[in-house]
Amino acid sequence: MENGHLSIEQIEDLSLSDEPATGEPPGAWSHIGRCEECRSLVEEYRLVHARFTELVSRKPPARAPMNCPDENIWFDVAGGRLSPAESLTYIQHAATCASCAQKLRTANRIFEDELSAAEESTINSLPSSNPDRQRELAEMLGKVSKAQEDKKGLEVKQTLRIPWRRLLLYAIPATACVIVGLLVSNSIYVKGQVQEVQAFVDSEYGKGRPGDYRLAGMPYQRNRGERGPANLLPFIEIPKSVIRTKPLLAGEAAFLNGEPRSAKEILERACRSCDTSAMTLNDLAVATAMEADTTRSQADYEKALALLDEALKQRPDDAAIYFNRARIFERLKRSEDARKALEQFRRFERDPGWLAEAERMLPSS
Amino acid sequence: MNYESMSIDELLQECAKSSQSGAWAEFIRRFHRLIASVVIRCCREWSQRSPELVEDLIQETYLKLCANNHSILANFRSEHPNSFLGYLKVVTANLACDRLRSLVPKNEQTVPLDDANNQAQTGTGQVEKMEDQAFFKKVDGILLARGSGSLEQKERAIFWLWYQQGFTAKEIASLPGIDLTPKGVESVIYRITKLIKRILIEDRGENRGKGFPAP
Repeated sequence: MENGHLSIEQIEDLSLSDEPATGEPPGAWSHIGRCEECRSLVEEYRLVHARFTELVSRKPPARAPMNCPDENIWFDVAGGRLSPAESLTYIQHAATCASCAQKLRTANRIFEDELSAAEESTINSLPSSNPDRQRELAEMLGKVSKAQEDKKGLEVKQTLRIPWRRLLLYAIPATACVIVGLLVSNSIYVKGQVQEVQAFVDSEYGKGRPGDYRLAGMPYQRNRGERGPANLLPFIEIPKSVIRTKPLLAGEAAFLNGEPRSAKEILERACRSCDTSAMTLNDLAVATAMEADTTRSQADYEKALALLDEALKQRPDDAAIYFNRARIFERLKRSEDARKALEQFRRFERDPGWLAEAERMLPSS
Repeated sequence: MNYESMSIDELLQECAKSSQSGAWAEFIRRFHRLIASVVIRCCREWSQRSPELVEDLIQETYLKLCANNHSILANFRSEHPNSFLGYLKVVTANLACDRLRSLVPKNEQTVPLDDANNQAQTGTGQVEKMEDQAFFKKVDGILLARGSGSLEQKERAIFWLWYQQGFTAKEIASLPGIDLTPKGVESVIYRITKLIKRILIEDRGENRGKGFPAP
């Protein structure tokens, strides 16, 4: 008793019941029967207590949305994945938000450590709870892990190989295509150049052969005489590709250009490149003799004769070689050798044009 | 290799690095019940009780742990001895609920009973509702006036989880960060309730200076 009234603890205790409990001293109860103030206070406590009881029994009032967090956060809260401060923030929200409280309670229920008997039974009845199945599952997971490792390794290898694969897939075929293309286009180009030179030779040779000598494989044509400023003829620039691939044709074009020295260089290069065919040797001999005609070099004539001798070893029945030998012997004033060469020539020549020219050559020899 | 003697962290590293089925066998031995219990409870929340579905979700959980070169296991950082258990629970629950959400058509998804009650209550007892809101505001004002420290915040949360959200002391005690036993929770509720009652009566001007202790 304080100041002739009950203490607050006594009033609180009295507010929780309507009559004295068995064995409880009746002093406090008799006081509130006499004291209006204490009785009133007990009533106040009973009213507040009733409000709290209502608070528990009544569901929280519906409230406007409270910027609720994502629903998955409640698993993190219940699973202890957040820091204590973060967790408390969300729990505080849930404490005053019925919707989130429900989610938190659900998450908490899902994560409860203790299993009910029904849950134990359900888990035990699962096929995956069987030790054999668990072994199989472990092996499967091991295989999945291995497959991923292999794939990872393969991806690393593939990553490393990508440039090379791209090179193989694209660059090499592309390069090959370019090379083939270049070769084809070059071939076409060279072919075109050869054809152009050939056309020039055919055309110009048709107008008369270049000099007294006879080019290999060429049909009879009268001697057109020496070219000079007075009788300029069409001139062709001989492509290197033609010189390289068709030295005989290039030589013929050079003769028809009026450049026996150039023809000699082309044919000498061909001989150095092992093209020592009878025809090449014949034309080189012609170029050498034509040069000797200009220089009056005995040695050049001898060189020409030696080349023709080489050619004869390959083609002893080639009338053109004998014809040229006769011409050179004529230049060298070796009439007997010229006559013998012409005799050989007549044995093998069938072309009346050449035969006729040889007839004209003999009297002068 | 003796997987049974390994700590959880060592076992996780072994599972993440090695393709040995032994490591996974030990993992299953230790955590299968936990995974299964979370899956079963998720299914129950979604009113799905098919054993096949439960099995599928359990297997999917294991496969998810293996996915992306075991990124879930590799990315796990242990913060306390049991942190992996919480991590595994969260991973399993998220997978199961996402899957159940996609499996169950929206129009078949059940509304929790409490939500239904809430919805039914709106629009009824307008006067009661206003009184409740006024009482809630008053009580919450008292709780907030106690201070903004973590202890006061925690006790306020405990108070409303108990009184307004209907959590039991056991449920509140099991929440991470509460760090109290169920008895401790009950003690907090008793103490705070007593305090609020006194303050409410004080505020009603009924205190007649009879030795009320200061709030």
